[in-house]
Amino acid sequence: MKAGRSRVALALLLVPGLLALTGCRDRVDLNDRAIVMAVGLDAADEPGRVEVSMAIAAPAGATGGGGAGNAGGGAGGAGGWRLIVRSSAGRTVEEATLGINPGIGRRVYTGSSALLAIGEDLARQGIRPWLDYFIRASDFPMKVWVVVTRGRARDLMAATSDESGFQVLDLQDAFEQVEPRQALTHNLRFWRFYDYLVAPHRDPWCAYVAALERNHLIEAVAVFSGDRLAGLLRDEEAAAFGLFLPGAFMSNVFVARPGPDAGEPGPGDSVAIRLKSVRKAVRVTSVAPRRLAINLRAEAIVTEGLPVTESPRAEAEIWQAKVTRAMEESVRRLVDRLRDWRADPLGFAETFRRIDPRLAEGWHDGWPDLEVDVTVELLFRTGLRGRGIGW
Amino acid sequence: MTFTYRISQWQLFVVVALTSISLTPFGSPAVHHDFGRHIWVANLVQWLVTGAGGLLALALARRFAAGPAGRFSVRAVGPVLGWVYGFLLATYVFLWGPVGTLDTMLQLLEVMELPETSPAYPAALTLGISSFAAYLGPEVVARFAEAFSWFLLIGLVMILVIPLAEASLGALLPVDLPDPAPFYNGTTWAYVLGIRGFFLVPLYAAYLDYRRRVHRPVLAGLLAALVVVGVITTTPHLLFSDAALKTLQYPGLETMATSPITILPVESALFVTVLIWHGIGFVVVAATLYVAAALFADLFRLPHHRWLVPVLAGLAFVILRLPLQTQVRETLMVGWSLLGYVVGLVFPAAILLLRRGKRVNP
Repeated sequence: MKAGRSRVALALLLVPGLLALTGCRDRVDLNDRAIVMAVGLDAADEPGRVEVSMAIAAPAGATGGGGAGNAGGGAGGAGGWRLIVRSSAGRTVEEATLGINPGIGRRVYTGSSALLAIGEDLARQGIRPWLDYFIRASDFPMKVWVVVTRGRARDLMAATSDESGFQVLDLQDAFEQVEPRQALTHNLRFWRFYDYLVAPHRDPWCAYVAALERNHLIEAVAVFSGDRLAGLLRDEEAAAFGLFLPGAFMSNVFVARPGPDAGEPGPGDSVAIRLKSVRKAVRVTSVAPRRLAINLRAEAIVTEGLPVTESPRAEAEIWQAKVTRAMEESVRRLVDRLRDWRADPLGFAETFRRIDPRLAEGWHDGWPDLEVDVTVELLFRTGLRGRGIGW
Repeated sequence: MTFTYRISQWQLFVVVALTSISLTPFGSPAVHHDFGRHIWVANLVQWLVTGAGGLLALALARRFAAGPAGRFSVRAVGPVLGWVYGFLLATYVFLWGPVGTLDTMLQLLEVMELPETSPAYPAALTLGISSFAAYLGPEVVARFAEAFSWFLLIGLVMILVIPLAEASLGALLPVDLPDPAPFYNGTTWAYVLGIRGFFLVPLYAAYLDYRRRVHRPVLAGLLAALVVVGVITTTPHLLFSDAALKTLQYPGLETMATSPITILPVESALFVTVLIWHGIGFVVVAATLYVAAALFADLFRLPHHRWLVPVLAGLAFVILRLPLQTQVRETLMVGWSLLGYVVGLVFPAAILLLRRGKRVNP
């Protein structure tokens, strides 16, 4: 009995320890926290400073307050709550964030953020110094999506939409659920973006987004050279870029157009295809001079435009050859464009690094001696249905 | 003392595996920086050292089976040297578990989950609960570990597998040998010597039944720990470039923060990780607290280890609260690791080798 009592007494002594784990003394109530849903970075008016904008979730009826040095506005949304946008500039991200705190009267908590938006101006100036904060801040999640915005990131924070009420939330849905297999929405998460940013043999890329009046538009792929925005890939270049992304091939459309002398394409001049599978092989064929061979083997379904003739199989073969050439041309144009930008988002230098790390040094200074051979092998399927009865 | 079967094979496996995993993947973040993509070389050396150490510990355990570990040295090298050795061994075990392991665990907890909570609270809680288990004896510690084991098994698989979804083995290429400089670094050896759960086997020897083939659970426990530690230390290099890894404080942990667990309503595998490592911390602290108390009790001829447990736990708490600079902490960590191998393996192995054929235990 005595032993049993002492055990109970010991157990009772330990129970208060459990209570201490909740942080009774230094807790911060949920009501005292400002839950940040998205963070935006813009170039401040003064050089060498950054403007941080935060889209903060606010329950219905909450007021944003307004402190010195803060600029902001509110955006109403569905479900009885809204986003309050607050901005502040500083010499560092930390300083700017501290400037936001007094303006809202709550402690900023970025652990629930899902989007990091970078304004186009800042992206062109260089972003490396400003992103260090986010990799080192313990509460900032490394799996947020990164986008570059047309114009200022702050405008995207404040933009409303017809879907969820806020364009920043719609964007998260687009990246996570709606069309993850499209090239434009196959975005990089922050940890991967940052990894490519600091790696000497890789360049980052992300979606380029515009805030329209009532909806967002993912309009291009933003490609960086080092830590500066180098250019935007659109249309066929973006589609060609998508060929290299894992799983991002389902909805790519390649259209074989007539040559430049043939004028505007008319009915029957083009077909649309949906790529069913793409196998890509990028291998080094020579290190001096540096030479890469890119081979893409794809299976495609023709979805539109194949003329109905007496010999559909022959017609399909003609178009298969045309589209193959068009795809090769698109990839070559993509490679040339990246060469012009001195950008390496596809990891060509990484391919060389895996042979010898010295071959990947100094890649940002340009890849003048790199030759790239592109071959595409395309297998056409001319129907959407399977090979069952009636095919 | 007679042979008594008290700890089952599964319990022995769990205790050896968990105490070997311990906080080895996080204890030496500098190893990631030093080795880069050559981390697999450090892992291979760790496999060799651990394999040799584990086999030696099993041989020692058979010779220690008749009594507490510290006592054999008194018979082997005389009362004074033997007592000093026993004291060093007990001190080492105390510094390894309740102080060193718990210190690393508290750092992880503070960095990743509870930045605003004083480490004193989780330290007091962990030491309190572990003391309770150690106070009740090694059987309870083993059952404590067994009770945790299934939960930990599922959690470990989760945190090991989920980050691998985006990993690329090609990042380790080209396969070549690293610059030997990291091997002259103490933190490398602190990492390589980090798998050391087998130390407990000779110290638990009196509670093991050798008719039940002790070597299987011990070697299986070591193998499991090596796989877990190997995967956790290698995965960051499959996801991040060396340049990015240099900016991460705990690459192993931060890798787990990259992958969202979409099938569960949690933010990332990091949530599970903290629970897992807290569970492992409880087992390591309880097991080592018991062993340290038992060794000290034997040295000071106390009738029972029980009342030493809260004293040692209190002492550990005081040491943990001492302000230490990071550099001093790392130097101490390297020193503990080396001391551990000397007092835990090298010295007893030398005694057994030199006094082969003579019974060192009654």
